[in-house]
Amino acid sequence: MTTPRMRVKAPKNAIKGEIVEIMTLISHPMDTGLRKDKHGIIIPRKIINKFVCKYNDMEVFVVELHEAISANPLIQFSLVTNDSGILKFIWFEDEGKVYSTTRKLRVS
Amino acid sequence: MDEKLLNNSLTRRSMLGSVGTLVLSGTGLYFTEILAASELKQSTSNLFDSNALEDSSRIKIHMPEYAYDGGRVPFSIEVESRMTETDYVSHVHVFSESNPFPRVASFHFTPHSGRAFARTRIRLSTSQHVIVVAEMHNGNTLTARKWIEVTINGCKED
Repeated sequence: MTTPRMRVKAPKNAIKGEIVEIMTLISHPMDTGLRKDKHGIIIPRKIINKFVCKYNDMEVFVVELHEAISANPLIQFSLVTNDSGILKFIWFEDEGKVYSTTRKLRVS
Repeated sequence: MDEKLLNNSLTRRSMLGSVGTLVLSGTGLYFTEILAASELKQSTSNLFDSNALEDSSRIKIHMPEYAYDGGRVPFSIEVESRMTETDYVSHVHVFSESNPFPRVASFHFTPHSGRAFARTRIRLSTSQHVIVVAEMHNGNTLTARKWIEVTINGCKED
């Protein structure tokens, strides 16, 4: 499988103490292990099982995802800004693969 | 005297009354019944104490009432909270009543979240209740649920 495409919509600038909205999306089939392919063979389970957002290396938001999350999981959440720094978004796939991306946030 | 009182208390009218109260005692009871009746109980037993659940209007579930395609149902959740260091929502668990796998997602919030809000898209196999359980920092557990009509099974799409 090709590397999933990660998309993050987060503000670049913010005012200290402001609540900002962050939207993330990763292209992933989220195979539940219930579907069959053309030949009737069950496609094994392979999902993104965890998503973590780190703000200056501190975990601020975590989601445990299960089979009932749609393909190409979209996650939107909010965050209080306090310092300028780096937002890191990490997706954990079954079988141990990890995908991550970062965004800079300037707080004034 | 005591015996007579006891007999009197078991009249037809009092029975009807107590049945009425049982029905009116609402969704908290309903929830524990759901838990008892399905695999949900197993999956929730290690997450929180299902007997201490409290029905709450502080949980807002945003989801359409009717979904044609169960494969991608827009879903968002917000719990009213001040989200300070001493009073915040720590976890929000989402469960489905009739999906093959009852657990949908668990959101972990911190005081840095600002709002106990999250949005995603979920799969639903059939018309059912979606149940949300919010755990507060002080150990309280709140619950809410919402019914949704689903036309196409979202768990077996090709």
